[in-house]
Amino acid sequence: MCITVGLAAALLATVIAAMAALVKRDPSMTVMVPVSFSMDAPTAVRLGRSGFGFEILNPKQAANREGRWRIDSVDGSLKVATSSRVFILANALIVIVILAFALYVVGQLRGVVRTVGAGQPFVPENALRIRRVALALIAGELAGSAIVFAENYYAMTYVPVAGLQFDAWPSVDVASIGYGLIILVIAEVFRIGTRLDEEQSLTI
Amino acid sequence: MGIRINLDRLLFDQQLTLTELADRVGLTIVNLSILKTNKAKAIRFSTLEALCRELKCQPGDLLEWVPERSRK
Repeated sequence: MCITVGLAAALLATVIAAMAALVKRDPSMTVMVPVSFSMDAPTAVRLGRSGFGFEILNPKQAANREGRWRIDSVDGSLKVATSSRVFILANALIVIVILAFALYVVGQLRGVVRTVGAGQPFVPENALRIRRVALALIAGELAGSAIVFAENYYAMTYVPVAGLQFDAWPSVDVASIGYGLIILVIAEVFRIGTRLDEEQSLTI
Repeated sequence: MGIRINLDRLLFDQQLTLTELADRVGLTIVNLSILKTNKAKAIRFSTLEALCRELKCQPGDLLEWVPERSRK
């Protein structure tokens, strides 16, 4: 309930901010957007998504790089002070869609929790709800990557920072996609379980 | 499924009410109603045996196959 109210409040606040940006003649704002980037200075620090990776070096490279280290793959945010109505509205629209999406997912989960509370979780609607949550997780991750990619593209074009390059490729978190697929499998198992439960309850 | 339960007719023949039959076979009235209204998906042999015993009939008297069209 608190999560729903919080999300709804944030959604309302974003809509109001977007409306203000639309109505005001000179809408100056600071907009914070998600980005991923790499840094050359001081010793080629690269920031982006975290993860494991292995690179095989030849003897010459190995001698040069022995004992050296660098930070690699860290996510970040970019604060842009702007009066560009298009930029503000585009990002407000993204936030509105994200919050509406989150409200939808929370609504689905509340539906499941409600049936658990009522003592009857094995209903066909729950299998559908769990399936929707799984698809939302996968779609959300893909959309999130696309958003970061778009923000990087904007930053590459309009934010010149010496020694800093924004990533020119989208980065998808495979783990989130994997979680989504696992939940999809659970939803299917739940659907079959629901059918068995119905059959059991109608066996006299 | 096309299987009909002729519980009404057999109850009438034996001059029994649904409540009395439920008591005798050890089923709840709700479950017996599910059976009577043909909403059941399956019937246990133990239930069938108890019903046949109390209604003094054969399983064939209780169950009847009806083609889909004539059911409607």
